[in-house]
Amino acid sequence: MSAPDRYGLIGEFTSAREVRDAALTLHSAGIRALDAFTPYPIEGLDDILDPAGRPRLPMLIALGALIGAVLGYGVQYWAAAVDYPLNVGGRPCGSWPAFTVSAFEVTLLCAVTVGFVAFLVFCRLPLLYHPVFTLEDFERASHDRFFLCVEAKDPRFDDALIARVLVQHGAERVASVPS
Amino acid sequence: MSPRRRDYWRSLEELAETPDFRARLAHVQPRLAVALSGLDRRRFLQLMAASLALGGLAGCGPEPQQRELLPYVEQPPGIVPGRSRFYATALTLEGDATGVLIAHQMGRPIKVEGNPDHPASLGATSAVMQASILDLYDPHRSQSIARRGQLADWEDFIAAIVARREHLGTGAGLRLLTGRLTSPGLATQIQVLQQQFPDMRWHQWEPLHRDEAHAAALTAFGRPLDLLLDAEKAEVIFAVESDLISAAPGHLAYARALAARRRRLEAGGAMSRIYAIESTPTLLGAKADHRLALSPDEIARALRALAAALGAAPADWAHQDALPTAWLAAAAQDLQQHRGRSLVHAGREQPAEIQALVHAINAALGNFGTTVRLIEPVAAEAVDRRQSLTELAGDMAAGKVDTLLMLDTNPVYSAPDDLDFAGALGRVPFSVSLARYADETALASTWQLPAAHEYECWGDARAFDGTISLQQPQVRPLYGGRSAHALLAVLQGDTAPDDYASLRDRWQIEAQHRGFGAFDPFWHDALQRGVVEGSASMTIDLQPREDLAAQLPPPARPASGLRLLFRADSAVIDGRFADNAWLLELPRPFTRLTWDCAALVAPATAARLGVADGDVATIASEGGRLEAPVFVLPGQAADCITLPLGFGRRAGGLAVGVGFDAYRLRRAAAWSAPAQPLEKTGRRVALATVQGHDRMAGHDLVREVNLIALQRDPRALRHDEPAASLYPGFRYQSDAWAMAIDLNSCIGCQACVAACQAENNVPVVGKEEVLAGREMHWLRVDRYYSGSPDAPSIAFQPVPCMHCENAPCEVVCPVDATVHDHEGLNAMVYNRCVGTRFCSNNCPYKVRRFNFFAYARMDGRPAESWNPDVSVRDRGVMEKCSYCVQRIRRAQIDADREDRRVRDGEIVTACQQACPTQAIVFGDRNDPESAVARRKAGPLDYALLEELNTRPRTTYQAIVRNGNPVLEDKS
Amino acid sequence: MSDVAGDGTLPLMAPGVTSLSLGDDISAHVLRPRTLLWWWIGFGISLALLLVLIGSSAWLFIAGIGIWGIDIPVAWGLAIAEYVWWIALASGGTIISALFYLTRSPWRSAISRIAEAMMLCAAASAGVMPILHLGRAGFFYWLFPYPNVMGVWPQFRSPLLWDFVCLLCYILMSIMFFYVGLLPDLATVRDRARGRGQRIFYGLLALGWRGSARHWRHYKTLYFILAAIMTPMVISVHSVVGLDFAGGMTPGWHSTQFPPYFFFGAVVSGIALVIMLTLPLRRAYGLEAIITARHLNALGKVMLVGSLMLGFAYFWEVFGPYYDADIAERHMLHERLFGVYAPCFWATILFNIAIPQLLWLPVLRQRPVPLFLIALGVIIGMWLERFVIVVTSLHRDYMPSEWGNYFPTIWDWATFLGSIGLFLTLFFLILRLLPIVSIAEMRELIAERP
Repeated sequence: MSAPDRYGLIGEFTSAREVRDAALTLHSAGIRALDAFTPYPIEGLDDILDPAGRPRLPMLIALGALIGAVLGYGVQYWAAAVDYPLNVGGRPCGSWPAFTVSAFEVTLLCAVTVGFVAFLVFCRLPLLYHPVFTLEDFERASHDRFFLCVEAKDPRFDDALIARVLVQHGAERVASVPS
Repeated sequence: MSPRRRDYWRSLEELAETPDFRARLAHVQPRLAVALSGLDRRRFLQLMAASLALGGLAGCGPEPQQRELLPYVEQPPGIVPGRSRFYATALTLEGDATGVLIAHQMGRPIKVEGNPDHPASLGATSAVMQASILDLYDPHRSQSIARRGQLADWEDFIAAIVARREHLGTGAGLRLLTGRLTSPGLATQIQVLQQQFPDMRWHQWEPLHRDEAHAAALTAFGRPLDLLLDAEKAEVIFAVESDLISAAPGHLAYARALAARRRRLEAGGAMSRIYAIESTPTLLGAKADHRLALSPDEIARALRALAAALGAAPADWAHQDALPTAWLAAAAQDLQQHRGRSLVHAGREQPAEIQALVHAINAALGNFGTTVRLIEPVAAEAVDRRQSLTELAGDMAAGKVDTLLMLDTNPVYSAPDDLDFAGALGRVPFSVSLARYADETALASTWQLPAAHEYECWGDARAFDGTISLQQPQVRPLYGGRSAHALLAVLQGDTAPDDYASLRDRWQIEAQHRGFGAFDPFWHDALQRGVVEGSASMTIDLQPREDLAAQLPPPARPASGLRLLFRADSAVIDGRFADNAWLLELPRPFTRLTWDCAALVAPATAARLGVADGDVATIASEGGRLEAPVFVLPGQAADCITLPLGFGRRAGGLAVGVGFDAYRLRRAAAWSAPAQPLEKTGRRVALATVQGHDRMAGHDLVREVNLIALQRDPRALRHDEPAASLYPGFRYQSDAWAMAIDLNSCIGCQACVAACQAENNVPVVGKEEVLAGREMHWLRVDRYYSGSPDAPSIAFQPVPCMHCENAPCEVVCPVDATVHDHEGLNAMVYNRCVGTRFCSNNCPYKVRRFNFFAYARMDGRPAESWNPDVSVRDRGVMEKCSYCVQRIRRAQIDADREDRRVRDGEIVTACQQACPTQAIVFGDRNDPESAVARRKAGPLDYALLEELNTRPRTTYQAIVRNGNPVLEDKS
Repeated sequence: MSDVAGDGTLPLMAPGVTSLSLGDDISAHVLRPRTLLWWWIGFGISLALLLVLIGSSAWLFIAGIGIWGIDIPVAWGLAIAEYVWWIALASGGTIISALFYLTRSPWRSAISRIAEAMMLCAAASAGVMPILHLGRAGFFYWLFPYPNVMGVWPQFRSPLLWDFVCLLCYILMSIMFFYVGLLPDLATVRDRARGRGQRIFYGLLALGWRGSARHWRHYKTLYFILAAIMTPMVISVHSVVGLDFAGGMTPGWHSTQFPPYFFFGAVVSGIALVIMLTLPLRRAYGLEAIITARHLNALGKVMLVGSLMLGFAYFWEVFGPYYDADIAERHMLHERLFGVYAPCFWATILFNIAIPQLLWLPVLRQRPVPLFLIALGVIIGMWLERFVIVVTSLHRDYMPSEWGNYFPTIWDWATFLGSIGLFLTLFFLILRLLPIVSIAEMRELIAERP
């Protein structure tokens, strides 16, 4: 019985502990479409909100590094030994030790770049508009307030229940977020 | 050749109207000439484009339309771009001719090479000869005729002369002043003139005269005679500040002979031994096995002692005090043991007394007829030139001279100060100066004529052994210069002189005299080869008078205090090349100074006087005083101050204000004078020397071995073998170009440096940049001292690019701008260079040169004088020796055309070609029979900085000193 | 604050600091409608110096590299010395923000942003040097491997190319690292911004950061990994610069210890510059509350350690030539110790090794003024060290005949001053536009505070 004209219901807390507890309760109540907005990372909060979610960043970065390594070395070797071999100072054309340095740098560069891009993608950034921004006083989310938002799309979304839970855990105020 | 008027046309049409043009057009393009009569403008211009191009082509080159010039070898069908044609001619210095071949590219003279068929060259050149090409193109040459500074015309001049002839009468007031002349042609002309004007007098002047030798010859033989020496036969040479291999007539040939004898080791024969006593270092002294730095008085006494010891002088002369008697005794004994196979020689600066003693000693040693031969003087008229000039100056001052012609001589600058020639010249109403530059004399004369360069006119001249060469013009006078022949002809009354015709006519007679048979073949051959076959002088079988020593004046009592020595500068000579940028920037062999000259002082003396390099001191003699920077020169005799002549020019181009003018202190053209004590001015100047440090600082850069040690252990020098490498080295299947430089032969004459500069378009950078450490020479000749600073052993080491197989420069270049080619050349790709300069930092030999500025653009050379085979480098790129790759490729193309391999010795690098002593050998290292491979296989071969394992393609052969065991044990 | 030794007992920040006050203070500096006078003055001076760089570079391109004092043999001069110097300073920034992040040093948070900003600006100044020093600067891009008509590639064996690649990677990575760290704070500033322009500007920069739990999760993961990558990167950066020299065979360069040796130098000089920037800022922005004696203490210690490591490298540099019997090496060393440039060498020892030993005294290392002066000395000393390494090695190498000297010309100095101008100009801009203390990290500290 969720109303489609709303993004969700949001509670404003004054302490990290309160928001953590509220999130825990709601989650155990089987509500999944939960999100918290806090001025700084709250220990353990993300595990409550989505315990299954294993960060995929590290794997991707490792992959990026691998690509970088192959690319970095490959380009050098191919150019110097295959495409245009030259006698440079009597050194062998494929003098691999001399190629390792640049290869290493390129490896790191690719790793970081992949990581950076993946991060934006996972965070769905840039995203200049989001329903919660419309909520007045929301800017305190980046200062001293902690918000917990239950999205209306959740099958178990129930105004009364959620509002009660939020208030129980010390929400200063509960407001609904228009979509 | 008809004088070429330099008049300019405003439009092509106007040009087309000039009869001269129509005539040439008719010659080049007969049909077009016809077509030209009456046609509309557009069509005219269309045709004109083509014809002018042709006209232009005809214009350049040695005027092929007018005179048949004969190329050196065979006449190729027309000019092939990028191909050099060689024309033989001769270059004279103080009258002595040296045969040269001028390389022409597209009809432009580009490079000077020695003429192998010429006895004074044997294929070699001196630095001065190499630089002559720059003289030819020098834009500073005087380009216009002037009467009292006002522009005038050749016609005006002829008119003036014609008018003058009316008043000359028997020519009592007519005087001719020339340098030393050997040209039979000029001599004849002067004779003819003499017949026209019986009372005319011909004077001669050479600031670097050989009057001392002249006087000695008079005492010894009763008449002037020239000497021919045999340095190859001589097993023991005793040099008294000898210029045998540096300046004497035929020094190139002597140097080659000497080197051959020093290299006998290669052939297994005996090596000659050289003793040298000198007041200031000479090239021969540097090669000497035993060298003493003695002041002029000591030299005189030493030679007397020597003469006595060898029975050439009264025995009581043997006891001279304060001399290294043991040394002299050893030398005397050595000479004694090599009677007839020894040679004593004194440089031109040595007083007549010493020259005479040398004759006496050579006679006592029985060297006359073996190592010393006599010939009739080569000069057209052998006179005492100091006296000759003194008389002239006297007459001028006395107002006895009303007409004075000065041919290619600059007395106002170079005459002894006490003659006050300038003042005297002021009293001559009609004076003519024929000079290549608007120099001191030209500016002081009433008529100033631009002289043609020797490459611009016909003529003939004789070499040190009398051999006659014919001179062919290589190009039309670039700046409207006139020849001496033409000037004399005009004076004779011939208002339209034709040098070629008169030369040819004279030789027709001459050829008959000499019985050369049919004239045309003779003429053809003489021009083609640049040498008149069999024209060398006959040897005269004559001995100096027995009592020669007795004739000599009693020894001058030893003078105390400082002495000034006036010496020629090795590059600008007497000042005549002071406008030649190459020569000004050419490092002097010992001081390695460029763009400057300094008073040379011995280390001990400098310490005593408390002066150091660059301290400006006031130097004074009875002649006058001047301020000169001091340069401390190891090997200089104590208390002797050498002043180089030829600097401090007051007029005549680049060199104005460069250095100081030592002529101002020179009285009676003496070679040395007593000096008053040095006064420090307290000022210091920076002297532009190109060598950072004089000693090898512990490295064995120049390896030296004593002959005895070498005989004991032939492999004494071959120590370290090349280090092992983890990687297989590159294989050079086809040719592997390599160079071998024999330090034992190198005399440090710098000819290779100048040759390299000429061949490879090496720009001149100027004094400021040299001071900044940015000279551009691809090849340098390092000079190192070892032993005590006052009696050092001196070594020269030419350092081109080593073309290392493990080139350190290549590995650090981030853009592949310097890489190896398939023949192991260390190639420099100018277009790819971004100018990181890491290659230079990483070159242990520091042979790389960088264009910090656009030196080539700043270089004042006319564009047409650059060598088209070598790209001119722009700002911000690195450059270096390429082993004259353009020559390698040319030879390879020839070989390919004939479907064969390049022959050994077919590729000759510029430095190798110029080298008088054949110290440099170049070729294919892979061919065990090649000269270079054989040199490298020799026991003396070593690589520079071997320990760095750069595996240089250029290697050196060590210096061998043939020390006298008697003296060796002492030291 | 208290002068008690041992940072354990020194507080990280003043008790009064709260999450709100912190956010307000820091963003206030950025959002302040009227710019402060001292900023204008500082910025003006920096801009003037920057103009010197532009002017001298223009003349350099017109007249040619010859306007500098370089020659043969000393073909590298101030430009290269300064390149090494700047890159070392830049590395110092990364060391603090990355290395000490991994070591979880709490004192890092307050100054990491300053360090990172410094790193970016110094890297920029370093970056222009190698390009200016080229004989044909217009073709610097030939070092980049791109397919071209001639089919030629760069020469990958050249240490210079390694360096080019390395510097390029380093700058790109640094920018990303910097931006990621900046993101939450940009959001904070955005939310405090009142003016429309500021809102748009920071709104865009913040990319819509909401501080959602998901954001924070990825943020923490990424930032940790980036720090873990930047640390070896920064070590490699200066090692590769060291290889520029060690790769050559010039006596005085050809030494296996150069990579670590150069890294040590980077630590000392980098920290020194952080100190020199932090102390005035602390004063100007009144950050005494969050940049406390404890921070100074820590910085002082790191600088001391760096200086000791450097001393170790110096010792080996002198010991080497005596140990191996290479004549050229010894000549070069003697010249370095007693020759024309000897004063520079001994000044290096004095500034980089001797004086920093004062940092053993807590009293000195916790007081701004002495710390600042010592840091200044180190900066000068490190500049001289680079000069000595570059010039003295070249001016006496294998061929005595080619020995020569190098004396900087007015244009060398102009370029040097100009590069300082470039650095300061950029730094002042960052100061004005971005929060100069990492608010998010500080908040974590505040939260953890008992």
